[in-house]
Amino acid sequence: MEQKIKTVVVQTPGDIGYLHRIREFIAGMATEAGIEQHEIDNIELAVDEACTNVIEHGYAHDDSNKELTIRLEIDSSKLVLTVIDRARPFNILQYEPRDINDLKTEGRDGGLGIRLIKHIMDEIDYQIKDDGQNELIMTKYFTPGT
Amino acid sequence: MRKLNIAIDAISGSTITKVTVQGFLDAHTVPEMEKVIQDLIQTGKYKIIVDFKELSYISSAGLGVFMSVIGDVKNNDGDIVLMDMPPKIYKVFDLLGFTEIFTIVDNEQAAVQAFA
Repeated sequence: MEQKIKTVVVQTPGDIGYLHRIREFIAGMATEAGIEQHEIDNIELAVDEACTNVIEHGYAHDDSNKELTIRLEIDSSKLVLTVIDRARPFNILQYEPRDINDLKTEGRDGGLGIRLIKHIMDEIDYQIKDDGQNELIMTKYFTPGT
Repeated sequence: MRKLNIAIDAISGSTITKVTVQGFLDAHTVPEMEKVIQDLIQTGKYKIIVDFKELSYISSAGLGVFMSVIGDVKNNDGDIVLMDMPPKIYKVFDLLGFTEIFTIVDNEQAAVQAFA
């Protein structure tokens, strides 16, 4: 019987060099919880895209206090992935993805990561806390058999 | 473990260059890939095949590299043909609708023919 993990938290510097370690950790925990591989692939991508957005668009390059905290909570019905930072707030929910043909001519990513997160996760919530922390809360519900 | 390995080979008897990627393409490793592709374009090599067989992961940053050069190569009678994608990699392109924008093939023969 697969052991359900309750909550795990990982904190890293806000540096893109750590992305693969974050992905490995989150994917590893999801595997241990018995989540199906294609869902693990999706979650790995969502956490990467969310963290990359914070690092590249939130924190200033010379900010010496950049940190990322990723919390993963799994129960029998859902998985909740929360990315917490202290960067400039960026509310993904207010972002309007540009048309894909614009991307082709403009040659920039223009929020591809945000588009992916919205495809992958069932619910997204963004909260700016009074203590200066931003939380991006992404939820994926399990359908029977996942 | 090297994070991203890139190998470049000329396809003999053609003006096509094959770029083989191994490892992962995320925001951290993408600059290396960008440099390789930009170097090819700047030396007039506009016909490019990218072999994905040994790529274990790609994020939107990786897709962004290809999006940023597709215009350039096509404007110079070239293309970037994407080859032999593992299902996990293909899925990311598919989620974003990029499978409609790029030529994606299973093998080198099909890739070379795509330039014909």
